[in-house]
Amino acid sequence: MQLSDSVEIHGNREPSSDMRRTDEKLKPLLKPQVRAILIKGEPGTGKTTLALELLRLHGKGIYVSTRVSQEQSSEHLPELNALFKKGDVIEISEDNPSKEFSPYAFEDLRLSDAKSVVGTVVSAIDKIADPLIVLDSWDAIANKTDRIERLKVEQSLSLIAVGRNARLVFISEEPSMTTTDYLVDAVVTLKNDFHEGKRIRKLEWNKLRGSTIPHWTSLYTLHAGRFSIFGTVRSVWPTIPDPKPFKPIPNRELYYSTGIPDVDVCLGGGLRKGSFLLIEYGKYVGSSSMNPITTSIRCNFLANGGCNVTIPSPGLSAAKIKETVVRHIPESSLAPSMRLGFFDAYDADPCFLALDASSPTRSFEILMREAQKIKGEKNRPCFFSFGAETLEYVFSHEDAFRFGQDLVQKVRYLGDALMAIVRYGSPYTAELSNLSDIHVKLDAIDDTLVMHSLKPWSQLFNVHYSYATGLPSVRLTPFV
Amino acid sequence: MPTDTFSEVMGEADRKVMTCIDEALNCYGESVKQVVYWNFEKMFNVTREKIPTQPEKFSDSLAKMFGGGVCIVEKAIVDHVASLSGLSDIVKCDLATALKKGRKHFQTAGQI
Repeated sequence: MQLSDSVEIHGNREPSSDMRRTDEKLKPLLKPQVRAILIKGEPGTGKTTLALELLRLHGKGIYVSTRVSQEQSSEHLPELNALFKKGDVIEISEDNPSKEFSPYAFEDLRLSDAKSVVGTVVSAIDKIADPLIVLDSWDAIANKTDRIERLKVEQSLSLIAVGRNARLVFISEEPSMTTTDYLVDAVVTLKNDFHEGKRIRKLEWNKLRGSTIPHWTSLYTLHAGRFSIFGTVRSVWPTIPDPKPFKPIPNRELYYSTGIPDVDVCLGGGLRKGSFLLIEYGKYVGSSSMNPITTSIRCNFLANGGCNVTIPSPGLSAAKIKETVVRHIPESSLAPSMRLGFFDAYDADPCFLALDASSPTRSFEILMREAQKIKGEKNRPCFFSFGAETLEYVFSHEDAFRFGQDLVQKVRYLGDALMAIVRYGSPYTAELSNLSDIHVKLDAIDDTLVMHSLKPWSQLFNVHYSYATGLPSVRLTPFV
Repeated sequence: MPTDTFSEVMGEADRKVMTCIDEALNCYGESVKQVVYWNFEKMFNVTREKIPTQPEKFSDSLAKMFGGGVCIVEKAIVDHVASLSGLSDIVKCDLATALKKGRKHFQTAGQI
C-alpha cells in the first residue's frame, strides 16, 4: 500500500474559503496605521508570493522587481493578473523598465539603483493614487548603498509614503536586524522549518503596529502558487445547525472509501480491504481530534450498506459517538449495523455492546460474535476500530496487545478494515505500528492541525475540518 | 553698480541659498536629493539653479513629492537658511518666503 504524496489531492476544491481565511489574517498588514511593511525570509520561503497576495488584497499598486517578471508574478494569481491588465497594478523590472514610466530613462540609470527606486516611487504615486509599492528585493537595492545613505533613503521613502498615502513593502533576505526593521510598522519573517523531519512553513509576526497579535506564528503553504495561511484548531464537537444525510463515496474493488476524497487519495485509494490503519494522536491534541475523520469513515461504511464495530477511546461516550453518526445516518439503520463496545455499564441500547473487563479472551469472543451477527449472511464489509488506551486501561499490556493482534488477524482474514487510535508515547505504539499497514500521526503545531504518515513515508499535511455543508468535511493541504 | 559685479553678488547669494537647500536635503540622502531636483526640473522644465529665483515653484514640487510630509522637509530647509543667514525670525515663515528673505539677506551681505 502506498501513500500518495501528490500535491493535487484537492484539485477540484473551491479555493474561496482558503483565500478568505488568508485575507482575514493578512488584513492587519493593510490597516491605515501600517505604512511600511518588511517581509523577511530565506530564498524560497514565499516572500514574493506573500507580497503579491498583499498587492492583490490592496487592489492597486506598483511592483518594483529586480528578479521576477510580471508573467511569473501573476501566473498563479488571476486576480492580480486582472489588476495588471486593468492598469491598477504596474510592474517595473530591470528587464522591463517601462520607458514612459521610469523617471530616469533619460538618465540611463539602472533601476536597481537607490536613486532610481526613489524616483520610480515618486513618479509611480503620480500614476496610481494610494498605491501599495512592493520593492522586491530591497536588499538588491539597499546593499549597493552605504549604511547611512540606506537609512536616509528608507526614512525618505517612509516620509513620502506617509505624505502621499502610499504603502511600502520591503522584501529582504537579510536575516539580521537592519535599519529597515526599526523603520517599518510591520515585520513578518517567513521560515522553512521541520517537524519530525518533515518540512513546514512558518510565518512569524515580529511587529505589527496598531494590532494585537493573537498568534505569533502561523503555518502556511505555497500550494498551487498561492500564499495560504492555515486555520487554527477548532472544536471537533461542533453544533451542526442543519446536518445533512451522508453522501457516500462508493467502495472500489480493493479499497473501502473513507468518505473523504482527500484522505482516500492520501491513503493511496482508501482503506485497503483487510488492512490495518494505526492513527497516533500527538502531544498537543486529544483522541477526539480525529473525530470528523472517524465519523466520516463510519458513516461511509454504513451508508454503503456496511457495518461498524467500535471500542471507543477513553473519554468518548457511546451516546456521543452515536449522536455524531445519527446526524447523518437514519437511526433506524444503526441498530442492525453498528455496535459500540464498552467495559462499563451503559444504558440499554441495541447499538451498545457490553464487554468483559475480566477476560480479554471472552471480550474478543463477544466482539467477534456480534460482528458476525451484523455482518450477516451477506458478509457485509465491516469497519472495526478501537481505542488502544481503553484496552491498556482494562487489560494487562500483554493481553491488550494480544487482543489487538487477534483483531488484526481476523480483519485480514475477513477482508474488512481496522483502525486503532493510540496516544503519543504509549508503549503500545511501536507494537501496533509493526502490525499496521499504515501508521498516521495527527498533531498540532502552533495550534494548527497537521497529519503525516510515518509508514509509509508521506509529507506533512494540514488538516482542515468544516461542517459548512452540514456534513463532516476534511481537507488535507500539503506544505508546499 | 557695474553689471558684472551685480551678477557676481546675485550668483553668490543664489549659491548660498542652494547650499542651504543641499545641506537640508542631505538629511534625506543623496538619492532623495537628486530626485527632488529632478522632480522640480521635470515639473517646470527649468534647471535647479532657478530654485532661488522661483521658490514658489520649488515649494510646489516638494509638496507634490512628499504630500502631507512636506512640512518636515520644508522645515529642514528653512532651519538651514535661518542658520546660515542668522535670520532667526524666518523659522516661522513658509519655505518660499524664507528662501526669498534669505536670498535678499545674502545679496545685501554680499554688497557690503
